[in-house]
Amino acid sequence: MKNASRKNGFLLPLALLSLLVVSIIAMNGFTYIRHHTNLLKQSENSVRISAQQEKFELLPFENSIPVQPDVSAQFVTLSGVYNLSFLKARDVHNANYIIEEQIPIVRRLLSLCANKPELTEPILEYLKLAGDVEIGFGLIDFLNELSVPLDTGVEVLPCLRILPRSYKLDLALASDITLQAYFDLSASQARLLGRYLADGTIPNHAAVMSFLAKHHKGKDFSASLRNTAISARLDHKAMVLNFKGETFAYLDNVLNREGNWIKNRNFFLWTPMN
Amino acid sequence: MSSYRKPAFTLIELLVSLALSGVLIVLLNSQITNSIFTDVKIKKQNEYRLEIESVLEQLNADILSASHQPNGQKSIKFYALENKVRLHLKRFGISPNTQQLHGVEVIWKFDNSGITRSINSAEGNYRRILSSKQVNAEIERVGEKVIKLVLTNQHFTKSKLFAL
Repeated sequence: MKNASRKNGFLLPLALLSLLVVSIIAMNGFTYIRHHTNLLKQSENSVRISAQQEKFELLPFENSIPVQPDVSAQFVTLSGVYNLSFLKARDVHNANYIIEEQIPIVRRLLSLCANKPELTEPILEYLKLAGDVEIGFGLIDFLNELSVPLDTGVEVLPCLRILPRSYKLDLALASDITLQAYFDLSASQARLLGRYLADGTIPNHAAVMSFLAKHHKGKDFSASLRNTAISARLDHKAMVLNFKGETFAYLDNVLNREGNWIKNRNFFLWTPMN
Repeated sequence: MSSYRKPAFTLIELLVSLALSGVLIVLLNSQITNSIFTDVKIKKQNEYRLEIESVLEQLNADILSASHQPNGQKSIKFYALENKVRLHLKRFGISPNTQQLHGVEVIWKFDNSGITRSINSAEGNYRRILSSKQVNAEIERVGEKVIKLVLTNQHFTKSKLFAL
């Protein structure tokens, strides 16, 4: 018998014991790590989405186009769009009231531009009761308050905007349809007025008044013109972001009193990730 | 006759090993059983914690997507009374019937009966129970645009800040 080749010690019991202890520790550790990872994953996803949205929100301020593949951007000028705040004012008792002369303008705009004249009454009802409009309230919010589906809202977006009253309708940047609805002109007269405003033939309010006097004899437009400007200075713009042709964000920015661009209201339907 | 034997454990070693294993199993049995039960308990707690995390993420998504009021603030109202919290907010949601995006009112309730999320829209009302376990909820405004929701049950307390 060769005892010299035998190893000393109780190897088997020691091995069994070690295996048992290691298994218990590993099982508990694995369960803990798995739950912990699950918890972290959820938070991480929402943080990643927020970070991605912040990146997109910076694009309009940098006037840059998205570098992400499949994402395209479209700039929209909104200074030439009718501001719904023109519809309301406050009386001496600080109570809201609707300016009657503005109602036909909104009705015409909704008919000509969005083909939704039925929205006029809900808009008036809401504005009668609502407080003053401040920055941070977009047209999509407004239509949401009226329970208008977003599909309908998208059609109204190029026709109306809602901002504080100080954001005037810039006639030099207004579309022919806006001019037609605002001054109750025919399509050809609006086209002509638009052309004159664009090439500088009509440079100021006096010239607009004389142009309108030819088409609306005896009608006074001085009150309506108070809500307008002919500066061609952009004070409201939006960026529409698309991913593979599908719109996923609407970023709305305004120029504040200090002359800085600030966020008005951004909407994300969803967020494409890298 | 050659008496060559391969090196191996002796009978005594094997018997001692078996005896030791038996003792170890008996000793560790209660420990293992406890550990299994504790694991189940921890698992349930973790599942509930995960459930609460998921609820809070969903609430956060609702708050992030809430529409604004004319004053520029988010359209969110909250009510707190004796460990019960209700949150009302307006946002866009996809209608299950028409698949159209339109405005909906979302109501969150945290109370003794658990956590529920209701959606009221022009097309009808939907209510979903997200957790049926009792939870105490407290809400407080910690800044001009930040609220803090604290959920407590017998095992843990979870709080989250929401930016308005």
